[in-house]
Amino acid sequence: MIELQDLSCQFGESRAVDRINLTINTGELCVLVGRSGCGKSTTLRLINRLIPRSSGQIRIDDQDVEQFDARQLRLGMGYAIQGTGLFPHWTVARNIAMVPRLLGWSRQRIDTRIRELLELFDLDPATAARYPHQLSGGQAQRVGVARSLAADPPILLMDEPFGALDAITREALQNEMLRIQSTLRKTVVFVTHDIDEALKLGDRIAVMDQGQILQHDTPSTLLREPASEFVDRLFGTGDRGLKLASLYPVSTVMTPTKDAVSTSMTTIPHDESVRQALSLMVWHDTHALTVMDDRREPIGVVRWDQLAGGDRNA
Amino acid sequence: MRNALAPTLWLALLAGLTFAMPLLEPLLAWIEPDRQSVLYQRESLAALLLNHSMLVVGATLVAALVGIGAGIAVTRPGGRDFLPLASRLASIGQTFPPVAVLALAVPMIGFGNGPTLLALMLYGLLPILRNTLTGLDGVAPAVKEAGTGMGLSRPALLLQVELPLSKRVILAGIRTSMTINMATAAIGSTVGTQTLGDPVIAGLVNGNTAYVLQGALLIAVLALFTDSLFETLERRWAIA
Repeated sequence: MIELQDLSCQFGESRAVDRINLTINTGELCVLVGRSGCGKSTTLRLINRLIPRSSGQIRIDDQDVEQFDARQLRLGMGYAIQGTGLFPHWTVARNIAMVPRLLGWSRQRIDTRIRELLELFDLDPATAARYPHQLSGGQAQRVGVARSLAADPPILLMDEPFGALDAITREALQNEMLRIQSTLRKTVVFVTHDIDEALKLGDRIAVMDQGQILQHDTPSTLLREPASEFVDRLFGTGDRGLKLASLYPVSTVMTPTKDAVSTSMTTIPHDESVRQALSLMVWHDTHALTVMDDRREPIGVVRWDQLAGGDRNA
Repeated sequence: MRNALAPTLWLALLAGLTFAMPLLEPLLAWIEPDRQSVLYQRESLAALLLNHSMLVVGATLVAALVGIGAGIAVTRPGGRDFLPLASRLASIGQTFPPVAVLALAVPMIGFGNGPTLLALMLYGLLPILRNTLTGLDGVAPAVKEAGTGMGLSRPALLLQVELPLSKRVILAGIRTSMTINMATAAIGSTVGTQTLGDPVIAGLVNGNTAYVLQGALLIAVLALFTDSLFETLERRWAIA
């Protein structure tokens, strides 16, 4: 658990971070979102002490971070940043091995770990011998995240890790992030300025502006009950319903049925979002879809009038 | 292997010119037909070459230590204040002619190897300092931040990340410094240092073009050998 208490950070006259309070539970992915210069990156760097705090407290599992040696603290936290920050003169394997080597792991253990991580991130084992400049943007960013997970730290700090990628690669990496997080359950602090990314990844989202946290809530609460006009505007007005609909899988609104379902009906995988279901209905000019499970067996039906209210069922 | 060929060839030519200069006597005699002596014999060319090279290697070693050291110091958090001063010195120093350093040094430390060594060190320092600053400055901030953020200590970041990433640029500075100094050292002969400039000066004083030619040839080949040696090293580092 990470607790920020009355945390401030002052640069000269201006307060980059202004008395914020934030609790991030163990295993939770917390997104810090806001416009550039709102203090979200500064907050992240206060946690691993890349920037010294001016006042307040940062506690990790009830221990003040100032009690640790800064290096020891950082070795215990994964750190992934925009543009990867991979060392260009080291191979992928050497890059991933950095923290484990600093921690004095045996060669064998490091090699095993590298293989595990490449597999986890769906990277070819041959990638290990390549240099960063030989990788595509998406591969390099995967390696960047893999490197931050190398020593299996309980906490992961990510500063716009997918910011420099094209839309398609970014979405692929977001999905991978969700898949990996669902098994690893790290405590993640994720900084982004992309609202859709925040809604997609965050268990809870802290909206920041001018060094302050305006609201810290679950994605659906932020959409349904914005605490201020700023949050309201930030999350858009026109397509808010669609944003909400993209938060829930169709399995939360469907009617389960064991009966054979007419195969002429358009189908949708059970883990697709309600938004996708709506899109399919509009596109295929239909009022109902057959929901399929992972083995492509029909498990239920979702009708037009059931689409609303997914967040209340979940 | 092909890369190592060029320095080897230059070295062979250098050795040939040093030890077999008498073979060129007909050619030199053809250039200066009225002279009795066309071969420089006041001192063996080998001894001149040795002293010349030692001076330059010594001066470059000191210049590299000081230049790289200063370049590192002024890019650390504690020395940042001196960065503008250091980079300005590095630029201004280049405009200062080595002859002037010699002229200023002689009254202070007398004739001989001393003033030449001093001039070469000062003159060779600046390309190294400048390239060290450029090289360290060229390391991407994201790379440094990632390193620090993941728990590298400052010395480890310098040794494992910053220096390896800037070593080619720094090496290029040493290459410039040493190659220029191989040629510049010849001026040392004007203040009594034994260098390959001796035959050149003697030739100029006596109007003997053959002497000038011998000295100039050796200095040129020596500089080319030095340059090709560094080029080989730079290529090797480019692959790694």
